[in-house]
Amino acid sequence: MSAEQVILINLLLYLAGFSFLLYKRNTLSEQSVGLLSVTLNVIGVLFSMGIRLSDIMGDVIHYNWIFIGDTAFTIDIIFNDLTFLMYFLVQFIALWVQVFSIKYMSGDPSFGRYFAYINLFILAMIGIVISGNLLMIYIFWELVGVCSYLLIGFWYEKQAATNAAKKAFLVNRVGDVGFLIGILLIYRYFGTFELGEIVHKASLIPKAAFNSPVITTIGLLIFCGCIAKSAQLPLQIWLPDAMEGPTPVSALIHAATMVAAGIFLMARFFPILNADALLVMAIVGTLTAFFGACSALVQYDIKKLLAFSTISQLGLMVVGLGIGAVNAALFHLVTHAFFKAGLFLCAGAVIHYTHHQQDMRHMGNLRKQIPIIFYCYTICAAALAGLPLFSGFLSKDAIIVAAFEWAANQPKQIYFAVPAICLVVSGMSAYYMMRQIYLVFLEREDNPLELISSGAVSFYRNLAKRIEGIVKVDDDVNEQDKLTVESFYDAIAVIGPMELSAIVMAIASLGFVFSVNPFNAESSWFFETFTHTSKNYHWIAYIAILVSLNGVLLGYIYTKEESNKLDKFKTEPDGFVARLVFHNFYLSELYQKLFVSPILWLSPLIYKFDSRIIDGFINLIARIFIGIAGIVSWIETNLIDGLVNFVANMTGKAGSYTRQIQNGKAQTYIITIFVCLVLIIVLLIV
Amino acid sequence: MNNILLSTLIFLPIGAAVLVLLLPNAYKDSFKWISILVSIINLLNIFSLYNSFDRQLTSFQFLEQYEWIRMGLGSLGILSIDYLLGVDGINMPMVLLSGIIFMAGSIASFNIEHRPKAYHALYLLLSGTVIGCFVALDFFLFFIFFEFMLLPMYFLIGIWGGERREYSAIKFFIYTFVGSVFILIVMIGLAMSVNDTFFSQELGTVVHTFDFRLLGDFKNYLHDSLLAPDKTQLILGVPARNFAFVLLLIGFGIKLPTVPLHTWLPDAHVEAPTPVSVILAGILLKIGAYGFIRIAYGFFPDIAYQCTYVVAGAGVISIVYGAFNALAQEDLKKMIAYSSVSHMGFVLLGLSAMTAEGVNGAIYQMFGHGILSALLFLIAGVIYDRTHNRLIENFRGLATKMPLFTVAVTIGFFGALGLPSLPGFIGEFFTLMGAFQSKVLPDWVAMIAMLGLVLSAGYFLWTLQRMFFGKFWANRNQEAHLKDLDLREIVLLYGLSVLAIIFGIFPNLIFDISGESVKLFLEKF
Repeated sequence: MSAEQVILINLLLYLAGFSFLLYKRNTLSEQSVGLLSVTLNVIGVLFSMGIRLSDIMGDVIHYNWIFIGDTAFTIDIIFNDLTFLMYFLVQFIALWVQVFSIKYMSGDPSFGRYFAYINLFILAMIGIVISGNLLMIYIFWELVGVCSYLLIGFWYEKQAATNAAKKAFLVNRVGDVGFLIGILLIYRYFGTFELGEIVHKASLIPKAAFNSPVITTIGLLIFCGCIAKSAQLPLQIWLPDAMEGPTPVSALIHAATMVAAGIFLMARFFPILNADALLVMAIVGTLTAFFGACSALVQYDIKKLLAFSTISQLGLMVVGLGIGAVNAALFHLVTHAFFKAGLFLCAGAVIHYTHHQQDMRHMGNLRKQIPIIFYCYTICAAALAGLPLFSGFLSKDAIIVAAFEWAANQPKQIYFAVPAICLVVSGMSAYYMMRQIYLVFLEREDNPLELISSGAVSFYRNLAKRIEGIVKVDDDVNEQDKLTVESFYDAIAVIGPMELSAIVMAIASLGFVFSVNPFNAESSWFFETFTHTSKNYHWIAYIAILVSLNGVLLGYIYTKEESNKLDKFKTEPDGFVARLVFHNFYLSELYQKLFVSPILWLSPLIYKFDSRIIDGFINLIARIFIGIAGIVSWIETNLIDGLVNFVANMTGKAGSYTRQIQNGKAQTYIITIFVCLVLIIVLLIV
Repeated sequence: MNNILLSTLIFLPIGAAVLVLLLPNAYKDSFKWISILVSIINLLNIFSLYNSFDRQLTSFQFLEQYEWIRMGLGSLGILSIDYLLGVDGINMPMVLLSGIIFMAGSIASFNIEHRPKAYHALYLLLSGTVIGCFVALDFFLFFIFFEFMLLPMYFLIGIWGGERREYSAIKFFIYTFVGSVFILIVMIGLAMSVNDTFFSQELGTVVHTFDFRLLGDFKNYLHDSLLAPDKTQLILGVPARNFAFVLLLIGFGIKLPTVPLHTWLPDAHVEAPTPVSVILAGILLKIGAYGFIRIAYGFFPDIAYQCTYVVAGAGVISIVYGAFNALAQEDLKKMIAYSSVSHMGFVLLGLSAMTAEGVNGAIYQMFGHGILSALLFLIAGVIYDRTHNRLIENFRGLATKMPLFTVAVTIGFFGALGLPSLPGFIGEFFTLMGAFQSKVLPDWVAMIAMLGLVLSAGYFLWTLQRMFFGKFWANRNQEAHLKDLDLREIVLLYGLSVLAIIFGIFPNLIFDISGESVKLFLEKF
């Protein structure tokens, strides 16, 4: 079996999973749905590893799809290191998200539908990853958007959810139109959709011509797709709303994989980006990272905070791309995928155990109640904050260091703003993660413990008892609590799928997973495959550590203060700036006023124009014709027909008049003769 | 070669219509079965036609030619009219589409209770004439079919329609009729300008012909004739050919319909019964587009080249204007009708680009829109059948009560808003690509058209959200009537959905057929 067949089978399996689960969504039991879906996913992960070992790496496979005239539009599958990286990452995270979902979604009436959508999503996402041409990428790009739409609006009875789904799709549509124009311009300029060929042709363009406005335009238009999908300024408004979907979906789609598709796309597309386009990307990324982090500072909702932090981290990745450190950006994509998925899964667990409470102000003291989740959460948060020993430190600092290097090579000092802001963002991320941990997990004076479900408490008590049983090997313990193989299995079994997934993600967020030397990003296995070097500025990394630690400290202090005077039922924070930041700078409202409202105002007006003016004109013509017809009809009856009737009448009248003469009376005849005679005589005389 | 397959496609339904008329009313339950049977036979015939269609050939296939009318015109020569049928890559997809849509329509006509005899007779008559219109290769024959289908359409809307059926039927009839008068003028002008060189040598006199194959070739035009390509004949200082092209634009533009000649469409659609709406949107609009390609562009390539801005402009305005109107609608069926206006604009855009991608995309868009709009009107019909109400605001949360229906609606809506793997995307993508590749159109034309993509996503998703999501509720206590699809509707909606997906994933099913003919077609420009 050749490797491309493996990929095809892999895709078809997900398609079959989607169709079957959707078809059987109401009849299959939860266990069988979960088992089937997870099995498919495990097969996918195994396949992806098998492909890595096969000789397909580096190949591009072409199939003809359609011919138009003499032009062939092909399906290209490209399989290089980047493909494999994402291919594996998507399926691996999806696997644990699915495992998590078995517990999280349990009891939902649409359990089967949920897993069907997840299968479709994995299919579409893999499609993007293996695509070797832009047309194909665009096709799967849109499909991924639909999956996102379906999953955000999964609980379709909720108004907010369907609103968010619609918003996400429409905002993405706007970006995709730019992307589409870019694709079509590329075709016109390079004469092909195939990435390899485009890159090859771009490399033949001389340096001077490469900086032409055409190439810049193309690059920026492609970047439009990234702006929408990866939630960059100014189209990031859909991502916080997308949190209306189920939390595991947020972990998989709106944190780890789909939103990173934009970064992936730009990495694939990198050789065609010229200096101007890259500079714009760096600026957009920096601004996004900063504004996203600002908004994350003051959120109350546990998921919204994570969403804004996702925006901010995606901004950092775009900065990485913009400064030319593609592999650093990709590295951050990978580490971010793990720790952010972990954070969302933990957040999902928290939400699950607190009866679907998402407001962090109503949490607290969860550390003792759900310790496993707490530790996992802390590890992932530390990774996000960029603390050493954790994965985020390696990747984030690779970007920041590269940014400093980049700025030093630029003509003006002002370019140092980019790395500086990145450093600040790093500190801010440490702050808001600390704030979240404090509010959710740490002991607080107000202690809103009553919310935690008794189920969770007893679950953890049970677990603690088991573990105690394992640890205590005293002879005087109960027969049941003795350390046996069975009790060990019991203890494992009691760690539910949610905890298991969180643990896996937390382990994947540890620094040593990526690098033997957790202080030096360059020594990581990642950069062995995806080369990335930085010569100087290693000292920046130490500053970054300081900044992060500072952030943690400040976060602890300020949140402690904040938690003392927390108003739990406020809908927004006090103060203009805080409100501005809380509402993501009112961008959504601005677009609503600027674009949506005018369109909704204009369309009835146009319809009125259509029905009154255009259709009215037609009706007017019809009426004019009817009027003319009326006039003609009047002329017909009164004039033409009247004339005819007049002649006829006159003839008749004349007849009836002359008829009177012939009445058969001799006297009349004599008189007539006499009169006629007189008349003749008179005439003769005259 | 005189294969009678194409004649069978035309005359089997017409014969069946006569049969329905002759059968006594006691057999009134059998009429719908006759309809369905004939549609099935026709569809199977069309499939065999599709299979044996030679994809490499650029000329017409399955030709049937019989001499029909020979009329001496004195010093003007002879007027020759043939019964001439044939298919090539441009009308073959339309014949396939007709087979599919009439099949769907006949199933949708199943629950027509009111005067079934007349209904099915007219329906069968319509299906014969529509196919005739697509396969006729003689302008005179084409025109007869073109005119003749107005008759069944008029009655189908006027008798079985909704509240304002008479107004709509008359509006539809007069509108289209005005268009056909324009086409008639051009037809006569063309016939008078074209000489069948082969026969004229044989007969020693000028032979005026209506043969499509001859009309498209400049060599056959008489020197100094009214519509000769050298443009010697002027009307008010403008070459007569330009006039003729504009007349055709209006004539077929009404049928298509393009803004601002579209206002009959929402009325006719809203008032027509569901199966007739399906036919109307699914096929009848395509006759306008087909006329554009075959006649306006095929016979006047030089003028088409000059007027490409007009056509592209009409297309883009239709796209955006139709989309805005669709956004404003309160009535589901009207919304779909305006979305048809918007989507048919892509056909004009692709055509005006005069590139292989554009024209093939336009043909595909015709086909794809045929299937999707049929699906959409059936969707509107499902709601209307149950509640006799179509206002969007009267329904909420239908997904809860009608899950099967909602799946079909989602496929239909996403197909129409251009989701890849469904036909709407292929049509829109390739017409836009054609417009970008085009040497005659500037970029901003296609860019404005892209506004239509965003707007169409807007109105479809908004409707989906308002009608299908949220808590279940229906106005005027109609909740009990809103049951999920029955078997017939499942067959209809899911059958069309599956077709849509098949043609969306394998667009080469259409492109393979149209490719060679379009190549030949483009050589004229």
